[in-house]
Amino acid sequence: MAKTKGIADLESRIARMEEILSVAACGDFSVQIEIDIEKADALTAIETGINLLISDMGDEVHESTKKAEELEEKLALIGQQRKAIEELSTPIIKIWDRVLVLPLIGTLDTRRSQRLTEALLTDIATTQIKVAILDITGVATVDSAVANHLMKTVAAVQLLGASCVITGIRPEVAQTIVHLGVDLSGVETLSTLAEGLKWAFGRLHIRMVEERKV
Amino acid sequence: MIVVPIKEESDIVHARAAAKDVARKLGFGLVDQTRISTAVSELARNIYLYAGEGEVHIEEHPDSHRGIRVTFIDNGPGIDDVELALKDGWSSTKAMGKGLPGAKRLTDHMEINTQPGHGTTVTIEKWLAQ
Amino acid sequence: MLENTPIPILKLKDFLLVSIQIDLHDRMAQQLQQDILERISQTQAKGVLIDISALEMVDSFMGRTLADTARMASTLDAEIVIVGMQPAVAITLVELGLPLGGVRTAINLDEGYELLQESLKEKASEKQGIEEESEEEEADDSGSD
Repeated sequence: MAKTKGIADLESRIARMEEILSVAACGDFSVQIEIDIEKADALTAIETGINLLISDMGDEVHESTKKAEELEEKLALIGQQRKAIEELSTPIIKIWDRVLVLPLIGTLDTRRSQRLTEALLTDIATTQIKVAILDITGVATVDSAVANHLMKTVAAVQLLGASCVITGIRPEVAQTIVHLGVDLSGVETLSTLAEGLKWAFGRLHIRMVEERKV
Repeated sequence: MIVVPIKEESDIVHARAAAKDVARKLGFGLVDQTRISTAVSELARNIYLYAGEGEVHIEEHPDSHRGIRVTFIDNGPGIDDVELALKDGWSSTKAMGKGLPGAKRLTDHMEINTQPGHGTTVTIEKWLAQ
Repeated sequence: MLENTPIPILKLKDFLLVSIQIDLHDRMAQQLQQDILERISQTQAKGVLIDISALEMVDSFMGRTLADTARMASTLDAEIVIVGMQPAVAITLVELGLPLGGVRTAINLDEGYELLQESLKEKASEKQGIEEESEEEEADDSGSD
């Protein structure tokens, strides 16, 4: 009789282990097997081991969730910073009387180029600018979409009555433009910002003369 | 909702002025207000040119996109080939053919429901930047 | 009636000055085109400044009417300069796909006036150049005789 009761007891303890393990497998690590220390036997060691395993796993999972949350926060922060940098990185510089330079840096998508065009045109209108220089030295890639944005900006500037030139065209950009079949024939383009400034002086009938030492 | 009937040429002016006013009240910036009023002008002119008369409905966008919705309704001849009508430079009359494609470019969403002989309904939406 | 409201076309030396202060409907825009061309031919004006700084929108009809007027005026030997377009109007016109190809623009009336005077001078010197050339040719002819 005693023997049978003992076996029944063992069976129910094993069943309890299975139950707890399956609960833990489902992601609930708050469960533990009840242990009667008074009646410690061979099975108690296994029960204690399982309890330890479950609580360790619970800690691990908690830790990694926290890390994931932190990571997400960081990603959001990076996104915000990128936006801030984009806004900061496009100053409109008055480089000379009635000459503006817009140094474009980074990527140029539809939204950003619309924002830039709007800012540039408002500046041109309020300060009665005559020449706008778009410098694309810092633009990572110039594909047909970017070229299209640039051409729209140039066209809008010209409608206001100001002249517009694109400078900072690197050799590889020149190659891509031709390979893509982008037609920039209606747009003034120059290799360097310095060339652009000279061009602007020409438009303003300004002549630079080098002073000679006597 | 504001309803502007289109019967005469000057109603095109009324429609675009009303749309601009609604856009401003909904919080659109000046450039977007101009995009909206220009698109409305193009599509209201289409009603006047092709159907003779119709209506322009201007309202706040009903759901979460938050923005403006303008609907152009007429009982005119309809459009035979919408895809063709959306191509740049195409026009069935001597008009400039910038109407439909131009309005599409100026807005965030455009929908055309038409049946030859049974009129045309064009809906445009412009969304406020989130 | 609204559509009969005449937009004044002022004469200033060799040039005409038009300032559009109200939102024009299509027939008024066409009427203005006709009025400008008539005044050019009456006054033999060499240039026209059209101030659109008060216009809050230019749609495809208005844009095309302006561009057409400029082309028509140039066949009458007058140059048209569109002055003072608002930034929002310029952006919208470009997105509409109507960059007013070939029409000259200026940021304000002063600039527009200078632009017209410069092109007048250019035209004058071109003419002079042609005259001088033909004189030279004549001289060459007489020399060879």
